[in-house]
Amino acid sequence: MLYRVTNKISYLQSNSSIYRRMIKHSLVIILISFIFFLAGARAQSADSIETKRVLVLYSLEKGNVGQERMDAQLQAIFSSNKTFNIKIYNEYLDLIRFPEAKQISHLTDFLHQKYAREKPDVVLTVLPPALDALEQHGGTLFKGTPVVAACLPRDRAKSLADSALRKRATGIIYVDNAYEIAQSALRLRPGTKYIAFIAGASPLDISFKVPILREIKRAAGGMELIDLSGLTIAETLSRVHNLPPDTIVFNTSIFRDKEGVTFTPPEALRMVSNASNAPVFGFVETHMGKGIVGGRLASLQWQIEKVAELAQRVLAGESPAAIPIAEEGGYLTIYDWKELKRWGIPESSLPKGSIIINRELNILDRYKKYLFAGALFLILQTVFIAFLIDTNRKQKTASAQLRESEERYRELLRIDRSSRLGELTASLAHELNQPLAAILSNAQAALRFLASGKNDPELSREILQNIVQDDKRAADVIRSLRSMVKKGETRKEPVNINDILREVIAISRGELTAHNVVIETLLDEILPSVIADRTQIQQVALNLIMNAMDAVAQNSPDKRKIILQTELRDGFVRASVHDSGPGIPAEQADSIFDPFYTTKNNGLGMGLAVCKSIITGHEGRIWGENNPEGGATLSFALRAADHG
Amino acid sequence: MGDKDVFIFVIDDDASVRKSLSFLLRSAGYEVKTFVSAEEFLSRADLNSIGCIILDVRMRGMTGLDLQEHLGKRECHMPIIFMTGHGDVPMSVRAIKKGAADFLTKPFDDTQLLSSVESAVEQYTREKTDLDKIQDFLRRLKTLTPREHEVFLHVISGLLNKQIAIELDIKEHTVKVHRGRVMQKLGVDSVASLVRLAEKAGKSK
Repeated sequence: MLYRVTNKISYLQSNSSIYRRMIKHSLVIILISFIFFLAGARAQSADSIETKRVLVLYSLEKGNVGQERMDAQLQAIFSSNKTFNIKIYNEYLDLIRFPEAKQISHLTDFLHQKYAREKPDVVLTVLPPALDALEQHGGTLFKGTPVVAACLPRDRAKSLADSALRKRATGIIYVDNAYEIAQSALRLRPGTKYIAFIAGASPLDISFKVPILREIKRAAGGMELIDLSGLTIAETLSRVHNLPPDTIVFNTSIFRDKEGVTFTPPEALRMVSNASNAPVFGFVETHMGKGIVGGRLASLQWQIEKVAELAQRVLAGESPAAIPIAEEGGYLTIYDWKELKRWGIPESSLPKGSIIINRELNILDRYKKYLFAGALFLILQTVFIAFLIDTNRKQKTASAQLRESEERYRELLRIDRSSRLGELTASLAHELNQPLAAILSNAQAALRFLASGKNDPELSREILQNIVQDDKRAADVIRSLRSMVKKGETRKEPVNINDILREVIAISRGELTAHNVVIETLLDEILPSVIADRTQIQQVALNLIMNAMDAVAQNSPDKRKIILQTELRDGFVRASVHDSGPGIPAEQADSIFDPFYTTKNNGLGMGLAVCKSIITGHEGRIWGENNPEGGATLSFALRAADHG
Repeated sequence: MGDKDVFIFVIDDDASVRKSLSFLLRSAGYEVKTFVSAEEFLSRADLNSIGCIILDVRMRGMTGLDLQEHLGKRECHMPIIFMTGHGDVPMSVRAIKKGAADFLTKPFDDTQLLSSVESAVEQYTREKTDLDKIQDFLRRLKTLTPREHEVFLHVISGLLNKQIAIELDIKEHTVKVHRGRVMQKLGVDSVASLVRLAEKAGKSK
């Protein structure tokens, strides 16, 4: 590095051209820092909104289609919330496969401890088992935290309404719409004589089955019912394969069969439908495409949106007790084309406006598009070739024009950037110049009065007082400049120093290229993060890089190289900037971080001082040393986050 | 330096700068008047004074360059020394082109300012004296009769009395009488000074 001490007030000299040049260059680093600071300030205002935690307790194991959809949608909805910064935590409780009381007790203990520090602001439960788990142990898990329970069968919603938990919980009923679905199924199969009914053996299966069965019976009148619920999967499949003619099948859910084998309901349904010799109807949107014919199904989308809405109302301060338990409000009338074909159900018999999925076209239908596209392609190709020949001619002139306009654009860009920098520089220069000019004139006036033998103590006092005031004013400008950097609300978060270095390299790329400086990185890719203010550390990195750039500027172009290195050492993340410049003068290793210490013609000496105040503010260390092979290395070290 | 009737007008919206310049100029023996804005200057100052204006380029309201333009329109040719907190080259070029006496970048040395003020004031005093003489001459010129005016034009174009008499078809003696009256009315005592004044006033051919 180039460290030649210059007289700190040399910029008072009257040679205005030197002065002007100094001001122009000296503030570039600080200005870039400001731009960072301003950008940071803007980012901070967005981040200063309150963070809220939403814990979602899914009853099933991870991977269930409905749950996955819900998760994706909730992420999307919550991330667009403008009032809060909502963090989502998911727990997949897997309560169908592990329903034992002891398991649940361990699980709740685990959750209790896991979220002891990061307490959720609202707990969402999906399907009843998660809600049941929450209610156990006298409701001590997440005690006092509001709850929104999604996908509740009507009966479970009723028991929630009567429970003590209702004081802090609200919920949403997932309507099975069984009566209507059963009626429409009977309409599509007019000759139906038997109704077969399939459900699993788990309590959850039964809780879905009971109300649905009630409704089906109501819709079917006195029709004969074949109950295939609570069997082993093998029995179910064999029975459903040998149903009497004129039967329709209703399938609610099979989470677990009689022997304790667990399933995801859609996969069980697929098996049932494949084995069945009669059309299968179901009640859940996520079962569409898995072998059910269709009907007017409750919309999962609506359910998800409602959960999100209630959760956000609760986060905004509404008491869950005051929010009525919501009734399903969205339906999709949807049919599976393959099932319709399989059972010979004509599309004309479907309700108007039905959505049909899985439609397959016959060969001609299916390939009509391609045939047409092929013919069209041939014609277009011919036209295109003619066009190309013509274009080729025009292109030569066009590319020349393009080059020209590109150059003009770059020129404009350059002018724009430098004029914006210029404005900022000018206002800062003005702020400092006013008091400096006044001090100079006052002092010289006093000298002149003295020289002329005019000894007026009153006048001298007045002049000296002016000087004192102006000096304080200049100091204030500098102080506020520094405090802007220092005080700007710091927002500490885990950051990866490598990421920051990469961002800063990207930003300074233009400057580096302009000075023919090559930058090399030796980054430790398994670096732990540090708790720091991203913007401020960016600023430090930028200052160090700019400093190194200035240091190597004197070298011949092939020797202008900077190396950035990161490593973990003794629990500290260390970032170093090596340069091959002139190095730090002896005995100056510490004072290079003093304010106004500069060795450059064009420096105010603020850059490294700012770095030091930031790093010190992070309880880190910043230092400089000469390299044995020449040049200097400036480094800073911050405590690694997981070594704290 | 230190003519009683010379005033230096300092216009800057910064109190520190006004005070310090006032001290500096007073230490060199000038009378100083300070103003916080161009507007205040226009409403309070005597634009016919002998002196010079020291002006900050960047001010709220009317800027230094605006004031320069405005004074030009009002036929006030008092010299202007511009000050700026930052070396703005295009702005200084513009100001100098429009007749600014100097352009100083803050902070500046006392000698820089004072020598600039001195030469500006000196030049303006000289110009102003000439201008006053010319204006006086033009006023006197209007008092000539048409015949005297004809004689005047011929005299300054270098004709002898005899030649003028032939040109105007009058007696040489009459020319002499007219000529004496022209010299008297215009307040000159020699043909040489008459010609010089006429030249400055742009009346010679």
